Amino acid sequence: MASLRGRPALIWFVTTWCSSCEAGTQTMAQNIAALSADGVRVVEVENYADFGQSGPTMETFAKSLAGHAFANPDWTFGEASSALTRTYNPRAYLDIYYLINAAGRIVYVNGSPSSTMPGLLNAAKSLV
Amino acid sequence: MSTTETPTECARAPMPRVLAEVLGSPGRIAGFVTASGVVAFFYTLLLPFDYTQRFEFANWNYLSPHLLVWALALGVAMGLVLSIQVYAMRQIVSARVATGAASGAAFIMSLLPSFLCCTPMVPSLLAFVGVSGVGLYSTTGAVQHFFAVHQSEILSASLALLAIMGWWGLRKLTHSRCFTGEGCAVDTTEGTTSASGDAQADLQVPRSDPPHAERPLPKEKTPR
Repeated sequence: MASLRGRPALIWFVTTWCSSCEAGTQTMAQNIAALSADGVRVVEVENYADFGQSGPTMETFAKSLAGHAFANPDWTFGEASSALTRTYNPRAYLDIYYLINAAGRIVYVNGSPSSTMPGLLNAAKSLV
Repeated sequence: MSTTETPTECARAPMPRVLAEVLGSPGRIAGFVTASGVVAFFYTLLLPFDYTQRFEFANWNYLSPHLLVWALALGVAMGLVLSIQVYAMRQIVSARVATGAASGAAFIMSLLPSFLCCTPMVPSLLAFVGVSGVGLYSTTGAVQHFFAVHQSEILSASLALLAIMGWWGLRKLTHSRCFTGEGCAVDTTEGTTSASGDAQADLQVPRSDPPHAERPLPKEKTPR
């Protein structure tokens, strides 16, 4: 997380067994270029241990749904620690993201990019 | 021979015949198709809810053939149950008008239990909870996971409930149908809401009815 300082970032918590997360990852793959053009780096992380439920690994999830965009340098996948999940997602949302500006302030919060991508793109544009 | 007799048995209409009558006119078919269409439309938006966490037309982007089949099945089942209930309610109103308070009350009592206790809202709510459970943010991961991975089972249970309700409604109609269609008593062997003895005494076969006049007299039941 520290490496993201000084640049807009989208921190997105997902659960690999959730349908909206699957759909959202596919939508993100189609829009990652637009976010990248606005200087936003996307970090998609699995909620800690998938909230204790079985699901595919984050790598399998990402490769199968992001397609070619999986290799985009502005899109990083990972697994959140328990502390990070508790800090950013204390209510255990399956699918929630935070758009953070270069100064480290959260400027936009939402979930399910499959249905909220237009709002996210607008918020990202406002960062420029 | 008296001018009236007190029947206690009669031939029940078979279920397919009652179903044919429930959908037996262009208006009733139109009602069934409309109800099914509206409900199926609702489900085409509801079933892909998991993918967007929103109730909007964009959900159609995630309406797979599998979900479309579920939406149609639930729509048709709900439309049928609603048609049966509307038909039954109309029968109740007709019976009240045609036969007066006492016998009308007996007829109503024979039908009401199945139509008031379990409306189609029950499976509808079940289906809704099933598909939107993952959106209940305050629930635990286990509960959300359960709804996420058992959606098909929950939808199956919902469809099964609708089927049972449709069958039960038709069954009640077959048991009461001899009263309205052929002028004999409401079946008193069903449940706790059977017609009282006084009400039975009011339910009499009109002698002017040729089909019944030619029938042998039914056996009398032992009073309970």
